[in-house]
Amino acid sequence: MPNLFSWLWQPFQRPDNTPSREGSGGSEPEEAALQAGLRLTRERLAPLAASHASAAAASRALRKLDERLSRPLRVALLGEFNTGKSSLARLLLGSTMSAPDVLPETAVPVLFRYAEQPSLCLVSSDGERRAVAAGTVTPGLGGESVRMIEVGLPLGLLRRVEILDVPGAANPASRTGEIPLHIVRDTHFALWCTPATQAWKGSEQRAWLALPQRLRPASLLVATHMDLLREQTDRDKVMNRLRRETRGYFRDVAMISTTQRAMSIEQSAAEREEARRQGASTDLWYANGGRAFWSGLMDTVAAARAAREESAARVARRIAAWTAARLSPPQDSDQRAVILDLWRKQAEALARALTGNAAPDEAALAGFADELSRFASNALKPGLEPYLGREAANAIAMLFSCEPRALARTLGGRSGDATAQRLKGVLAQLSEELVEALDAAQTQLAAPRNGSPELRHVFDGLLQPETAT
Amino acid sequence: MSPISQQKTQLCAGESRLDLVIGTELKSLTEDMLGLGERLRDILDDSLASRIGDALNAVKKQHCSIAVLGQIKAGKSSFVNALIGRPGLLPTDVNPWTAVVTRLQFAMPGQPRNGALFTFFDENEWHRFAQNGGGISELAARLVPDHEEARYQQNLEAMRRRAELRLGRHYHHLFGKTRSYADATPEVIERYVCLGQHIEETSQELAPGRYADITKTADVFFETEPFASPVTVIDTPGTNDPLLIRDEITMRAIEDADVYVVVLTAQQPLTASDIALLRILHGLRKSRIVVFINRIDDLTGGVSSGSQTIADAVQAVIGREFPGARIPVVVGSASWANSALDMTADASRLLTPELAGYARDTGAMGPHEQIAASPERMREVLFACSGIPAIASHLSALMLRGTNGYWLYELGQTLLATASSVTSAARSEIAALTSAMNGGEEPALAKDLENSVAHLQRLAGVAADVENYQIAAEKYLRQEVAESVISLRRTLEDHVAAFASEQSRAVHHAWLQGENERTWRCNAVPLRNALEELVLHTFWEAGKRLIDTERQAAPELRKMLQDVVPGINLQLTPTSLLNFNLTPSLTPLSRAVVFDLEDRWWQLWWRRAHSAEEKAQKIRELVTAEFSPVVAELASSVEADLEKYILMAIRRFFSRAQNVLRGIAEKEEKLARTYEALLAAAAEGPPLPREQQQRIDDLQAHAAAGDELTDMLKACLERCLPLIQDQQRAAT
Repeated sequence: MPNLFSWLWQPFQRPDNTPSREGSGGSEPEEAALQAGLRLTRERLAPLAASHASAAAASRALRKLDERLSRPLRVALLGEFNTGKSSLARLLLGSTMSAPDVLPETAVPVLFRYAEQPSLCLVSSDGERRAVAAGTVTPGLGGESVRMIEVGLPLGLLRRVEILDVPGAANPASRTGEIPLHIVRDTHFALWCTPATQAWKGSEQRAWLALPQRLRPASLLVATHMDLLREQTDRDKVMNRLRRETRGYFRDVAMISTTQRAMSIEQSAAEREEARRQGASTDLWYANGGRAFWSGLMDTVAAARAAREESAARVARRIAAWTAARLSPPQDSDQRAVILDLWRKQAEALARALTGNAAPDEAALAGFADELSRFASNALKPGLEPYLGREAANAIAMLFSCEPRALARTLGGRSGDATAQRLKGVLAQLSEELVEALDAAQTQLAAPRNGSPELRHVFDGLLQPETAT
Repeated sequence: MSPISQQKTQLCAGESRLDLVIGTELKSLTEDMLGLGERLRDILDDSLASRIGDALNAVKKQHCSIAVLGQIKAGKSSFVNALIGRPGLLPTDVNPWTAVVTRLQFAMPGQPRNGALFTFFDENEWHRFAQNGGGISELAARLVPDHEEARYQQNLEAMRRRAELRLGRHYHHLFGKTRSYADATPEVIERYVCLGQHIEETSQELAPGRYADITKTADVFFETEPFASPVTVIDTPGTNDPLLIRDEITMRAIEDADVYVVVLTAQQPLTASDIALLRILHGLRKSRIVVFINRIDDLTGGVSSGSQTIADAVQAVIGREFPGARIPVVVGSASWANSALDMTADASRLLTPELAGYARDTGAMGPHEQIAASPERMREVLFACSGIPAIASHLSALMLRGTNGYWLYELGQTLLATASSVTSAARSEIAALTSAMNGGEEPALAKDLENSVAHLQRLAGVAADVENYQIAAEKYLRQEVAESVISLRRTLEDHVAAFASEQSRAVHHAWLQGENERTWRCNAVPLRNALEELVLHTFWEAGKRLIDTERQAAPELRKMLQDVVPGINLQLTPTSLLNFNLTPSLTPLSRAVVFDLEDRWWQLWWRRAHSAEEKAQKIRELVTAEFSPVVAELASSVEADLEKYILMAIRRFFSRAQNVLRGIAEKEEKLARTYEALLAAAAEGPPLPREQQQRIDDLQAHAAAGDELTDMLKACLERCLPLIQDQQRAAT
């Protein structure tokens, strides 16, 4: 059934024959398709935006979504201090921007992002960014004022993935304790670095589990310093233990050596081949787990990209539903009258139940909770909303800001419980207001419709392109 | 002095031999003291001699225990192997491997000199451990009843299944039993103390870790080498293990050692967990700690500059975290030491040019010495670089500073007092005999006898006074302790109650504010810290009062003795609590409570249906229920330790005085008998000058020997003094 919703939604729909994204580090064509869809919808919403707040809001939300999709992914390098995070960053960048030492030194997070020219920028705690000349950043830099260092590099990789090197946790020397949550807010996945010779300690497990759960299926556990385990059997043993003990915590486990001179990600396969033929040390990295790590990382990037895209598509769909509901033409007026009447009765029953002094029994409470939840979903039914006044809308919002089951549980607390009593009072009042509002809405519905030709016109305009196709 | 230069001094001192001897200072001091004791015993009379003999035996039974602690995979077992000169004895692996606390006993009194003994859990312990998963899931059950956490249960289930697979279905029969072996080979040890492979196909009879799941303790016995005196080295499972069960095992084992070696890794020197461990030890006033930064062979930069930087940084952090603490730091590599000790390894191959550079920097190798020297020399160089000799010398010093040193000091004081009283008694007998022989008249002799008997009576009187005084003092001190403990208990309870109210207010507020389950949790750390501080404060305060009482008692006691033994040389310095290795046990505090559970448990709890009031009430109940036993245990531990102090210190203090009195009384009795004999002889005929002369000669020899011994004991005590002062400094 062609409708407004599908018209708004259709640009986001993924064609059934999704192309394979193996090892490509993400599906740019597809993402581009999603973004094109976003733009098309915004164009369609543009003429409505001036007259309809909901259309304007939707357009804004879609633009934000579009912007978010245009941004590169962000990977956070996490782990305790001296676990090879900075070496890994250097390895990924093929640059010597941040040289690791035996002692922990990165006290401030460093964000590597794309820039036409190499640049350096200090971000203060109040968000102010200050460009500085290279060479002025000393290892001891940090303190309260600098929240982050941004390093701009003209590397193609950074267009796709920004790298955030986070100071090591558990380091008493620099007093960096736990990993602050805000640091990983904008990251899509993490590489948790742990030294292969002393891998996955209790403190690491605690720190990782304290971070948002969403990172777990997207992130990699990276055992570094693999070269310190000289026997392959030893490496296998450690890998087996890590896989076993971190099951469910990571997407995968990789083991690499970051101490060999790194191969730049910028190197093409041909260059790599050339380097190999010349016996360059890049080969060593490649042999030392680099190959497996590389493909694992690419898969992870692809997965993170797909996850971001899926979540963006979900959001777009929700925005479309929301907007469509607000712009849809009203339903048949008889049906509406029936619905409003039903609601009114329910609200009355509700108010009665709440003002009654007797403590409700368990079955009554369960029924009550059910009613509340049904009511909540009905209240959002598109089409009737315009008939409910602001008070009614507020009452509904207040009533259903609580999760119905929690509400029922609270009400079911001890009789004489002050909170329950108070809550009941508030709910009863709201229900009464709701009854009044619904009465008014019914009256409005019964009266001959003379209004909102404008609205009808807008809907007609909206529906036309859909019926045309 | 930086640790590197300490090490350099150490290495230059020629201590690069492969066969270390640890604790020679303690041994020589002990031997000297015991030798003097034996000589003193030879000139004593029987009853006093047997008392001194008891004191000597008590010191002979003294031993020292060295616990090796650190995070998982820090290289503790490798370090122990290197230290005891037995590479490959304790099994090691690339994954956490030690699962059982292992005590290596060297020439311990009353223990065999070889073989091994393994003790299994008994039925109850195993049940608690394997069914309930030790503390953690018991806690989880207390916080969120009837909730099963799948993952944790899986681990436990795997452990039970593994035990069954490894040991057969009837493994329950092994509970409470022990197994002993005449020959403790690495293979045998591996079967009992190692984690073993996780894969479940390792059910063969001799597989590593076959019995590890059910083994509670492992004891391995040796001859004395490399230690000069009886020593127990305790190897522990690593701390900071993701599986909390093993963490618990280690924390339970760290209470009672004399010396602690904390092993760190060069790659991550001193993480927050290491600091936490040091803090626990330091909080217990276990000041005899040495830090070993292991695995500098893993450093990928330059070893020389790298280890210097690391050592400096670690020293700096320790200085900042524990101001005033003297914790030596040594850098090295147990792996190098083990290679140097392993005669099948090619040491010259291990000594790379870079390592040779390090050896020259630290002085292990001469500035112009070449790598190509003899293999034996290269082994020595490698061993010196490993830091093990430096650790050994720190251990030697720390072993002296422990309880052992104190017992020696105590013995020395007893010997000194006895020697001087014996000497003075001999002198007065000589004087009496001489005057009797030189024209001893019957009336004069009778007078002397009378004096002597009167003196004996006075001595008995003073002895009774001293005893009464002791009883009164003990009673007073006990009361003092009881009062301290009562007030401590009340304070602790008040703190817990205040914390409970505070938390219940917080949870009430949070619930009404509609905070979600992620943001709220009850953090018991501040309460723990407050309780710890209170306990330590009360303990040391009470201790100080006890010592003050003792200090006041000293001149009183001396005055009592002065009357009957003029010029007595009796050292009555009050003893510090530290001398007895007495520190209040804070283990109750480290016992896990529900508030230590991970956030997800609290999220579950938060989601449970409660009203704000109910939540607040629940929290109040939880805090009280969880901490009441902790408070009770803390208070009784403080009480027990202070009681022990009264018993040990006060009784020793008074018994030294009693010893002197008894010694003098015995001499006096002899003297009285001599007078009686002389009187009888004078009545019967001429005295027997030859016998008297003989007696005088003997007594003169005794007195001379006593003088000599007194001087020698004083010199010996001089050597003990720094050890005691060291402790007294630590106490204040």
